[in-house]
Amino acid sequence: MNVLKVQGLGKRYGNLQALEEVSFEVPAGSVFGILGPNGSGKTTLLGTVLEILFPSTGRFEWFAGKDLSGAQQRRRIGTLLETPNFYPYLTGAQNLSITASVRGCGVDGISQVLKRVGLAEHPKLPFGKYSLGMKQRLAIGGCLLGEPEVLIFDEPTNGLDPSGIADIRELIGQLHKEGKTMIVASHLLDQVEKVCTHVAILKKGRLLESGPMESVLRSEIAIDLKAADPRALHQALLEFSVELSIKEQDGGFRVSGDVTPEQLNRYCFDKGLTLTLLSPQKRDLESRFLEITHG
Amino acid sequence: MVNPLALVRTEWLKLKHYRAFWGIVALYLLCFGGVLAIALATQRNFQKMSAGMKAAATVADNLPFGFPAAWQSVPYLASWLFFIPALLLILIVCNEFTFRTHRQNLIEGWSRAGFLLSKLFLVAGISGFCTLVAGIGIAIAGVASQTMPTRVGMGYLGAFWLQSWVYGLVALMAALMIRRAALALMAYLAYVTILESFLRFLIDRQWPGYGAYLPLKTVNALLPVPFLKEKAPDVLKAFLDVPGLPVLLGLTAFYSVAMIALMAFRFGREDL
Repeated sequence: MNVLKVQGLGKRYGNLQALEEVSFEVPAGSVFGILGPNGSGKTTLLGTVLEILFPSTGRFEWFAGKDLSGAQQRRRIGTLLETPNFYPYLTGAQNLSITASVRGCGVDGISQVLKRVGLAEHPKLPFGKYSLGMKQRLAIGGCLLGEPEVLIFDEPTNGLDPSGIADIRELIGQLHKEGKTMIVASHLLDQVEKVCTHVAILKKGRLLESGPMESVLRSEIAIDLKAADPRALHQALLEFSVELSIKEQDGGFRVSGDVTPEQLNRYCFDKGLTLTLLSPQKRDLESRFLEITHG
Repeated sequence: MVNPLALVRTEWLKLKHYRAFWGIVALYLLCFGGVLAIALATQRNFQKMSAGMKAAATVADNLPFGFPAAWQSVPYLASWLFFIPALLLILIVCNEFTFRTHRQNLIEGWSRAGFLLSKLFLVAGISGFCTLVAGIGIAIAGVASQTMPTRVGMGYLGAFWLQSWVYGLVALMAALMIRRAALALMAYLAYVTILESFLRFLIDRQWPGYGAYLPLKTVNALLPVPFLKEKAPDVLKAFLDVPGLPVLLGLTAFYSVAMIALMAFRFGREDL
């Protein structure tokens, strides 16, 4: 089941096309990363599906079209969009009691949430006196209130120190284990790679690629091969049904193209070649992202 | 479905720890108490001056702050303080835009209509509070004037509530349209003190008499000046003459609906 289905979504501000024909689906239980450089339309996309912005074209559907109003749907989604927005004269708990009231959930979970995001030690400090990292933690706490099914984190590690970033990463991992669906927009690729199961890559409002992380990373994967008879292996690779890029290295070959390690292994086996090395060279998200966005 | 009680509860949560809110409420009470004290002291001085004179009995029977006149005169005095609840409303609503919590409220599960409704409840609550204070003021003035309580003239308190509701709507509209507290307050004060009168002047030049149907003129006419009318010269009488009550109530309802529709149109269709 898909939690969110986006079809042909577009958003125009005057002459600026902030989003153009964006379509993707977010499967239930996934951690869905939305990647893109600054200004690529990540926040516009999230703002549109949360009905803060009106789309110029296209449509979207939450919870497989269940008969819920937009406001009812948003109550099932915990969202941190752009910056933490709270009343500066209220403490964290007082602010969260407003969140609970808006969301229509009880206030019982507030102290637990504050503990979970590491803010239980400052019960009397007003939000206006919080550090940037504390503000971000409170916003994440607000998202968790009422146990929403879906969480949306837009740049969740903004303003956090390395230990705070690690905490948030761990929290996302825990929430994923609890079965929450998460949509995480970030330009910090290593963060996304560490926590996401699915990814969508945006550039200048256009969706360049989306799907499970493995498939995005593994398309045109590089594979290192060696065989007892390198010449025969080379010849076999040249005769492969799909054109491959073949580079010699360390007495073997690095192959890339539209092929999987399984296909190559079977092909070589059928040709009577026994491989002594078959090693897919997994690319990191950063190199894949740069390849896609600069391609 | 919007739950009105939840909206009111949430607004209260936003306000109950807000020092500026309590400060402005205290300022309103102080100003109202001060104005009432001055009025009662003036009345007492007038009574003393007339003591022993031929007109003493007439004065005693027509005390401006005794019953039944207090039902009109005390709310009329209170209406001069509308700028204080307006300041409060503008501050509260503009805060939502400054802190971007209007957006956050929507993200967390309110609809746009729900947000607007919460602010309308705020206007109703503040105007209700002002009416309650005016009611207490009437009781104090009536007792202090040593007059017998009567329900005659009680309708003026209802007129005061309508007046404070419409003034509140104008303040809310200024805040929702302008979104910066200082500018919104300036716009509100400019409209209330000068612009509507100027507009009336322009309309009356073209269509004599029609200027009296502008929003604030309409609600002001529901609670007319209590002290001058009998002794006013003819020109002033014409100025004080008002259309009939059904027309005024109809126009008040029309302006309320029009202002709410305008705010809903603006807030319901814009990107936040």
